[in-house]
Amino acid sequence: MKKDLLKRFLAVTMVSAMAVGSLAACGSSGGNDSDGEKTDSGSGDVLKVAAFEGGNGADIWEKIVAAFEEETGAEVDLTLSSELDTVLTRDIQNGDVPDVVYYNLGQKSGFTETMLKENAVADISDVFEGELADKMLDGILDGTAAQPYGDGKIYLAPIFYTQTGFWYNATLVGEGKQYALPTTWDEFFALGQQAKADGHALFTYPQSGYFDATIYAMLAQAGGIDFYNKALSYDANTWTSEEGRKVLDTVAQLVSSDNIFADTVSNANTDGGFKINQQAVIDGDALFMPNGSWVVGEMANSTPADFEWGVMGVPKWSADESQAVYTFTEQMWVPADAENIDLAKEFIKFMYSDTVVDLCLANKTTNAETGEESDAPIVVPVKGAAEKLPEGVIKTSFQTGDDVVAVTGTWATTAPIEGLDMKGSVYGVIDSISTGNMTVDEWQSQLEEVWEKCAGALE
Amino acid sequence: MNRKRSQGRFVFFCIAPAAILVTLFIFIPTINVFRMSLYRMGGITNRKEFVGLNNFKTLMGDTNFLQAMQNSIAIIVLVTLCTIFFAIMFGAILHRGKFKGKNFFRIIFYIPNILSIVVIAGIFGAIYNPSTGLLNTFLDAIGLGFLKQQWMGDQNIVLYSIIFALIWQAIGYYMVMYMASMAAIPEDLYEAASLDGATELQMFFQVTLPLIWSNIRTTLTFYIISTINLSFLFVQVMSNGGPNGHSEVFLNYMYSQAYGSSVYGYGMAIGVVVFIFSFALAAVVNKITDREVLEF
Repeated sequence: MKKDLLKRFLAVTMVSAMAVGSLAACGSSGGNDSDGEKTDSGSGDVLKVAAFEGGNGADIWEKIVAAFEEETGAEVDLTLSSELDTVLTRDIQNGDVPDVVYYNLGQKSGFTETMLKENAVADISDVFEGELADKMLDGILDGTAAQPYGDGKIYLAPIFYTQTGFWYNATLVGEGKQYALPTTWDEFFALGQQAKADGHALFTYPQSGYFDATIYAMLAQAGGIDFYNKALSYDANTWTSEEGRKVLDTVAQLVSSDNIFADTVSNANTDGGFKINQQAVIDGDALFMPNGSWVVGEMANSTPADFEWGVMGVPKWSADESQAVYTFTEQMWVPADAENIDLAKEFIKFMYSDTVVDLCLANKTTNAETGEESDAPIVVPVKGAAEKLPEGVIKTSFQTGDDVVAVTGTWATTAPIEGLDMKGSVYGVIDSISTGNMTVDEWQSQLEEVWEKCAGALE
Repeated sequence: MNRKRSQGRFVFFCIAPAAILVTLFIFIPTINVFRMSLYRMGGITNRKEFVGLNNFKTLMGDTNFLQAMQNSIAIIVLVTLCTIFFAIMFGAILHRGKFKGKNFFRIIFYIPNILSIVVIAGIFGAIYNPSTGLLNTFLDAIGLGFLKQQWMGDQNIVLYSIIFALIWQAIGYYMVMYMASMAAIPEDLYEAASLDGATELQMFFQVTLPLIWSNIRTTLTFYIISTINLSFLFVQVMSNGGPNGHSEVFLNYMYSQAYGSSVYGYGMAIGVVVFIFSFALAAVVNKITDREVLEF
């Protein structure tokens, strides 16, 4: 009897252990983050900083945090992850809201956009009042990349920036080279004819999404800043206007079979294929592509030592116009439910301090394959920061002259729209235009529809 | 009486772990998907708004979804038909054929199935590359250069390029399944057929095919479920729906809506439609292939 009881007890214990054990195994991975690297989090007033670990590397964030701790005496709990959106979605749903987040607009996950659409980002306009307002680059806080709702309030702090434009093969194009550098679209397309005869395609693009900066710059170039700002807020005439149509026609001509590197669309739509398109510029198969200064580091492994990069603004329609250059910014923001909003704002202010500006300019990254360390300067959008860059193409890309108009901003944030793929409808079409499967008229009417939907969903 | 009760208790405790796991990880999440499809929500914070069946109404007029649905159906139909044809054909040849190296071929056919999707994407990236790819350079080498294509860049071809990769990957797996049931057919049936003067082809249609029919029926359900899932993975790593949405499948569209367009609830509505669609399709296929089971 006793033996029987013992057996039964054992069976029940083992079954329960099995059930509990498997549940525990499947369920939580414990308090420690497997993807996110967390430093020790004490109790009390700890600033929780969550940063995306991308091309800039992890080192820079550890240095910034250490400098902030030293200067303010505050304690910082840093989470770094290359899958920050997944880590934060889980944390936020569990009520563990970070105080400051570095995660850009325009990422595939749309994490920052979703937080904005859910009104879950705090207004940080007061950070930029007073001294800091004068220190910031002119116009950098005006666009929808800082004021996503276009209501005059700043929600996204532009902490890093880079100028975008057409990056080109300066071994072949430039002063004293095989081809002269064009400034207008007419010169640009004439160069295309000349290059084609020599077996070089005029243009390629890594992926259709890289047209974002190009189209922003072209809209500002074609219609001026007012027209551009109206376009960002979904003005109904954006694409039916002469200026809008001019942009679409020029893009269509740019990607037509006359000018485009033949494998562009194939490569743009395969895994990792964007690098093959970028390599085409290095190899001289194509001369120009839309890109940002990160491309230099991104392609360093496969760039021959004697290759020269060049960068220019997107061509103009007429030589006497000012040059519009799109400034790409990276964003830091404070969740509306953050516990230490005041300290978070202090941290954002600190991002513009001389300490951080210098740390960023001195940034280095380590190549995962070769272990080689290389310079990867990051530029904070405060006056004078870009001038401190070492001489070279990256510094050239930041230079602005008297006749240059800096353009910032992104399509304004709307309420969520079911079934709308903004990137696909605006830029994805360029693939079909390039292959001749869609006409500019079809693109135009598709854009009109999208603009109507977005205008209706503006908050 | 006491014994019956203790037996009942024993059964209860044996079933309990599985039942708890299934409830926790299958039933509750599925019910949650249905529930979330009725909300407008971003999926990050807990802010949400009940919108009833609005997500489903929008879905019916969403041309991107309809295109993804159309692509998914084309993939399911073509992958199933081609894989069945080739898997049975190769299975029958390896089963009945008298030649050396049968095991070698069996292994070769099965290899694609054990490769990870990322490796397969890498392989097909190297095959389909328009300039340096195996396919275009091979066509050039044999003097058929005029057949060269932009396999992943032409929106009229890209879907078939992905379908080919899916079939290539699936054949070995199903071939081994069919061969297993072919091996169970008693040899004397073939002997009797051959004494009656049946050719190999007649034996295949009169003996082999009817006797593995129940196996084929089972695999049809597998085809539907695995093609829906695998097409998502293949599209994710091979084309991400491009160019311009022409290789989009419904699960990829669901993913991009739920995780990239801030409309999580809408994504869940797509999930519900896919769930119902796959159930219904499996049921219909099961019904129309119903035959009297032949036994040896």
